[in-house]
Amino acid sequence: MQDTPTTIQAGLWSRDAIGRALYGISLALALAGGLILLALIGLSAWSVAGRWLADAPLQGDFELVQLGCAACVSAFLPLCQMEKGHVIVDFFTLKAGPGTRAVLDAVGNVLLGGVSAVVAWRLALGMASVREAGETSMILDLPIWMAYAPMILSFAVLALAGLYTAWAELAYRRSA
Amino acid sequence: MSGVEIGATGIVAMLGLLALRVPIAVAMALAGIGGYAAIAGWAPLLNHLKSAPFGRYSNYDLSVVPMFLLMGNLASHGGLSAALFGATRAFIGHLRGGIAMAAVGACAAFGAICGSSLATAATMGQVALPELRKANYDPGLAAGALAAGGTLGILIPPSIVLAIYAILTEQNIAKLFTAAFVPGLIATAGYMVVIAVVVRLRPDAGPAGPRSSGAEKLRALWNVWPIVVIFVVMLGGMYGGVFSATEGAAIGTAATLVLALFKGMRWRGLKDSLVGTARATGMIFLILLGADILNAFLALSQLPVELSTWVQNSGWPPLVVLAAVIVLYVVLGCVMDSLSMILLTVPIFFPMIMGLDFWGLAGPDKAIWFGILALMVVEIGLITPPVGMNVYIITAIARDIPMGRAFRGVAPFLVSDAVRVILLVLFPSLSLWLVRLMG
Repeated sequence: MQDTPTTIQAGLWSRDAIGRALYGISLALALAGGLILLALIGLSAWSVAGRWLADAPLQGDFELVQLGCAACVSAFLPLCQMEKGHVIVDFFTLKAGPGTRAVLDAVGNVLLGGVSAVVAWRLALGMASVREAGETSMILDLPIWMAYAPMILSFAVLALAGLYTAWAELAYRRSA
Repeated sequence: MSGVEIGATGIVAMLGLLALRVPIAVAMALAGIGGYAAIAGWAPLLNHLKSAPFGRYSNYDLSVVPMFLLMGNLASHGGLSAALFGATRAFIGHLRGGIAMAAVGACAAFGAICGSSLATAATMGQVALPELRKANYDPGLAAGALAAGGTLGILIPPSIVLAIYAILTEQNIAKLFTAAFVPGLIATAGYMVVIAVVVRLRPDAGPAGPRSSGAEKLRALWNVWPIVVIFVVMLGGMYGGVFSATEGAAIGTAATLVLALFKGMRWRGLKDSLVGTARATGMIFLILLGADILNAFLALSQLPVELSTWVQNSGWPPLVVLAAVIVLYVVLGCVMDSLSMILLTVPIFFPMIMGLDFWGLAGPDKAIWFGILALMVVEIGLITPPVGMNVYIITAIARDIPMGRAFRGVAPFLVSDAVRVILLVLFPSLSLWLVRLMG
């Protein structure tokens, strides 16, 4: 279920300050990720053009795309959660009442937040050991741990988004 | 419990979580975490999680996914869909049922710069549906043509699902895209034939439109030539080995951005495209992460290997096994989206299919052939009840067309899907000849 107008709805986040703040952070992250993506596209296209036209390929474009890709795609995750964009199977609960569904969705969102928090925590430890080991990229000698940082930030925000959306389901939808 | 038993328990637990509305990615991750810990213990699991998410997200080949999604978004927001529909309509709009055929043709052309079915259905639906209604087309036929046509977004390369399949099975993305080209054209032709048959049986379902003059045709073509150039350069370069899949995606996206800017896109449109890309990419990559954790567990459990050996020793004819897999895909497709299905099933089915003999196909050929088949079959789920997402999208655009009517309108197109799948099973060369030609 990819980019569809039907899944875009003014979310529950608009109803309180915490939701609006989290949405703002998520949107800012997503736009930052989008700009990184544009930069990666420009970089790759430039590299090909350089190789073709001027016989002067860009050094290290491969690893820049790798590191940039990790930052960019993880930055997209919180916005998707705030807009209820992460896919669920609703076939088996079509007949359940809105209250039941809200409770189940709240549980699902808490689990999502929990898994994200675990990932953020483990990545933070992963970053520490990569940093200690002094791992760098092959050509440009970039420290790898720096690429972990934006990912940890994104997963931390995703964890908060999971918890917030769970609370919002219970507060706004269960009784609706 | 043995590894295989833990593996099976993990899958059952995951399906239970799925049924209870837990996000697919989270259900996969939880089953993976629980199973991994049950087999190997918590310490190795926690260690695995320190680097696995980074390893997954920093995969060079996977960067084609956000790039192709951005390209599709730019094409939608940049008004390229209207130009494509205008061009196909100028040439075949005067036939009976011709405007619907033109919509299918435009879907196929849009699919050449967009890797997502839902985006294709949504974009072309917004452009073509009002025109079809204005021309007094039967609402069921109009909705069916666009919902089915939308699946061409992913059948015609580039294709997000196929890129993910390539990465999962360690196949060459460019080769898979090449292989999808002919089956994608067959799909387009098949849908057009379906429209021709429907209007033959019920002439009032699709009245002929006015004929376009030569000058109008030329003008319509002039509007779309850059799209043709982008497609040819991007895929030609990828197939020809001039650049990698990622570089091809980057060039195609950059060119589409320039084109969209030429057509009047400004910051607002670019921002909408970026946010749309973020939404779709975030959804896909969370599932990727969940599937990655689940697959680490399944690999530990030995379940895929055991299942594959068991099926090989069972003495079942390979075609029966394949038929069972296809039927399972169609059933799963009724409740799940195509990407989750691929991520969930390929690690289990791929080794099984590779262990069987189909027409003496060599390993790499078999991998390509099965990939195209799986792609065709999972896409059918997008237009079958109860959760045919493409049909939902079309009825969300035209709210006066009832869902039941739209699903009935899709039915004849399903016949063409079934015929195509059978053809692709029986004649692997349909998928493989272009790959061999270019190779």
